[in-house]
Amino acid sequence: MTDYYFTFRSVTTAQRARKLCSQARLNGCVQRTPKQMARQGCGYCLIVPERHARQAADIFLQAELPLQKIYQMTAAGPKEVTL
Amino acid sequence: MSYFDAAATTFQKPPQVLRAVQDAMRSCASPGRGGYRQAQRADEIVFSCRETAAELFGAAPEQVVFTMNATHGLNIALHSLVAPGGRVVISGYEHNAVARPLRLLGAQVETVAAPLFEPEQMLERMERALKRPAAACVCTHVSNVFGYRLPVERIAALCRRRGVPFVLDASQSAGCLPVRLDALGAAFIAMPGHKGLYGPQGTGILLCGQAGKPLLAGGTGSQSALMQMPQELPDRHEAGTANVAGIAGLRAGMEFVRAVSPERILRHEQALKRQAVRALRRVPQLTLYAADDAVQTGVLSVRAPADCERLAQALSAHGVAVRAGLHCAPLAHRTAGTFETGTVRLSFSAFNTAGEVRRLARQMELALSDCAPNV
Repeated sequence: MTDYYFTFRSVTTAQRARKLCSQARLNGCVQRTPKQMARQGCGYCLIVPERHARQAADIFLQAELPLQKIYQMTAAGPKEVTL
Repeated sequence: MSYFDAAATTFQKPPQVLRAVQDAMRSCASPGRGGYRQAQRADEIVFSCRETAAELFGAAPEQVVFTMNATHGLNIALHSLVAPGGRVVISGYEHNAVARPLRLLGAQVETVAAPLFEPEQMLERMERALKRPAAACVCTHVSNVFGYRLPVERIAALCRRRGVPFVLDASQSAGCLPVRLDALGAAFIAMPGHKGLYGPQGTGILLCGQAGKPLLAGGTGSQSALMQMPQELPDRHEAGTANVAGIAGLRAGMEFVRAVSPERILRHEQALKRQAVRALRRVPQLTLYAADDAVQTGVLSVRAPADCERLAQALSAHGVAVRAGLHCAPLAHRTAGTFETGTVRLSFSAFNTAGEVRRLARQMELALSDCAPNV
């Protein structure tokens, strides 16, 4: 199963993203952004399973949430993607 | 003890506030600092408090910045807007939390003084003062000395028309009057957590209509590779470890306010104020600074032919807790003509009762008889 990592600059935005997902009955959990994805240092991400990733991206876009990047976590490591 | 000093701090707190503080101390580490359970619990509690405040005060969660108190928030706001020599228009009822930072910043302050309980006159004079460009206009929603409700909605509208950033000091109104960032279009709104929001001391909220300039720099648990403070709110103004236990208590306090409703709390406090006015009018030595509910909340100042601090001390001996003196608001006392004597202030909360107020006139008479006349 592939997970998607939506990265945010602050924990507040990540928590807001989680709340939006939960309101839409999508799974997601907030975690510290892995170092290799956090280009400006510490950050937070919402990890969403593949089946919910596109819908989550649409919700964040609609809510004008300041999203940094989206990564697909593969066996070879994180890959930046657009949804 | 009848505690009538809610304008300083609401001493009686809802029990759920105490429980929330204890629970947070048992279960939380620092928010925004780790991925383990205790840090995540802190993240959730802090975010949940931000959401509660955002809903209560017409803002987005990101626009809610946690501060130590209203003074801290006002300092951030003024530091953001005012450069040395900048012209700032303020009402004649401001607290030292506004007046002193402006002095420190070297601002050119124009104080708009208008008689007590005369909002139309305040508005006319504000309009004149705002005809010239200003870096900011700062106004208290309610005078902490007299409970005077200033016409801040119309002053905010004037500021919007003139393009002057408006800063609201909601220290005495948050929790009992409508305070909304979206409706006022304010640059900043500052409020304490420990008064009308029934949270613990050491908590406060700054609602940010703009990003502003950080007053304090340091770790935020975000964008740590950058040497400057993040641009994003709320991190921009939240350097250092957050007061998680306080924030948890503040959330419980705001939930209490929301459950009872600010309107009901205001009505209760005003009813106690009216009852106090009726009772104290029978004490001939007193001058009361009372007005209609439309322009006065549940805060009442009185003056007697006795030193106000001695009278407050004597009241304390008779079981009444009040605040006397200048209440950190010399401007308000100058505007109202009570600067030389100060006043004794009675201020009510959701937890005061009619029974306590019924005893007040007798306690006041006893306290007055304990005090030597002013010399």
